[in-house]
Amino acid sequence: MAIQLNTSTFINQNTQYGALPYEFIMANANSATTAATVNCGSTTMQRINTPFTMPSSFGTGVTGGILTQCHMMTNLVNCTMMACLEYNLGSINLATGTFTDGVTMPTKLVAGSSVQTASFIPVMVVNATLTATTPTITVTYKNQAGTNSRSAALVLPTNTAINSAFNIAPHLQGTDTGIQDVTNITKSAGTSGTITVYGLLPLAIATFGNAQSIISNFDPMTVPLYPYRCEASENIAFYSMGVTTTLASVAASLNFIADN
Amino acid sequence: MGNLTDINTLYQRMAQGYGFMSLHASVASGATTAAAAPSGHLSCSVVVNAIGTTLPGTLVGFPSNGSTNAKRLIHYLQGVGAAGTFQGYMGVYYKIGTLNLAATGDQFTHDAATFPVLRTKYGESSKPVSLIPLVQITTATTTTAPIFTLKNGAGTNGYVDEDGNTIVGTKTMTMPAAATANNSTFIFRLENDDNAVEDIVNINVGTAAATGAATIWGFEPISPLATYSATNATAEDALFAPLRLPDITPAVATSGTATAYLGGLLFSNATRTMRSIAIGVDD
Repeated sequence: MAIQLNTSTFINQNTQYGALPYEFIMANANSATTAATVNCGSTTMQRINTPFTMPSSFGTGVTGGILTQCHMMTNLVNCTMMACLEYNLGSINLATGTFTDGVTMPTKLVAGSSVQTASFIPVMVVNATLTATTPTITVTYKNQAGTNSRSAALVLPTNTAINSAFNIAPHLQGTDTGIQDVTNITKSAGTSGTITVYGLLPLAIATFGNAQSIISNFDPMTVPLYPYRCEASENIAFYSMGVTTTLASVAASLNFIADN
Repeated sequence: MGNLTDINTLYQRMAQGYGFMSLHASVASGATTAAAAPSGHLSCSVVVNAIGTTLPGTLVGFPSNGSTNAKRLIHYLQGVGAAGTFQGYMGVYYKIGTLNLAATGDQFTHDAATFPVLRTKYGESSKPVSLIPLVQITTATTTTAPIFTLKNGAGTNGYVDEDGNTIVGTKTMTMPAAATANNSTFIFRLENDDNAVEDIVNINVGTAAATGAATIWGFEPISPLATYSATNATAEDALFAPLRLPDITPAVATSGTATAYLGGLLFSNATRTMRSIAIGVDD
């Protein structure tokens, strides 16, 4: 982030570059997902299958957008949601056992310094329903300190459903806290399905109580999640946590200010 | 790690992956037996991670990574799970021991770990942590409401207070019902001027139930829980509000390994669940 976030800057950025449009995502009819166990993250999660993608280009002088407001709404009860920058670090096809490498976590400008990021909430997501009996999925990765050949193994439930997501953090090797890069993914069993490891950088969080149709307004300016610059073509993905039931609808609105 | 000196370092460290963000989704506490004056006034319930836990005896704490560094909580976003609001604390449960309520006499068995549990406080390392002493019913009582006291039959010791003094308790705890339900949790009545314990040494059962057992916990509060409405979230800013950055890594026992769980202590006897997000930085 190059701009300093204060009132004068907001006015100047909007005047000079124009406010970025109020962006929306809508997703509905997610099918029911599979609950986690103590062997795969201890946190039940769903990936909402409609990420928001930043524009592929910006006007002169604009390098990206800073998320300044995020409203999330769902008819789910008893859940939390988060919006994250999402990076495909690698995937495995269970039919063939083939690993397809993804990207490395990016460098980001953070508080004035260029930082090699690592995700402290790496997740394993089922992108196509598995045909597999309690498969052990082993991820080989570079940790937050840049050390290679680290490994984390999760035992997924049998025939895990599409869009089920599992937190890898509790299973990282030793005292590791994050993943910079994934170099391999292997499986112990399974004949079909696809699993992807995503590295997430959190942007916004929300929690929803007992009633439905609640808008939970997250103000990134007062919650100490760093407001990363969201750059061209980057994905902002949404995850719900705590429920496995079928989603009827999820909506989110995103407000950005131009960064330069 | 250390050297967390300013907000920019905090942001950079989290961006580098030295952080945590975890969902605290609790098991439902279940309807429990309300407290009464002779059992400490405050109705409480123990909740820990929903996945893996079967209350009251099989517990799994809220998830975390394997880092042994201090885990500094910077934000705690709280929501309501099951219907109804609650107050309480998120914190660490340390198992002090177990109590047999089905026989009279000295019926407390201390955990293998040696207490007090220790942290760095005010710059001094290995200082005892003051704990809220809790009685969690793990086998429902039957026939007679048990009565017990923080002392041994000989009257020579009972508990260690927050100042390190050995105290022989005089105040009795009387369970609120002959049939006190599982997971009913009560705060021990301590002697006047005592607010917490560093250890519990003996518990004497004066009146026994036909059946009954309890786990004795010491609870270390980390973040308050305050949900005022089923439709709105609340948040505890652990960074800018109290300027505290509490460490959610459990304290260490004086010797041995303390059995510890990150969980919620809910001040309610109605069934409740937590749905919260903890965010923090490695230090």
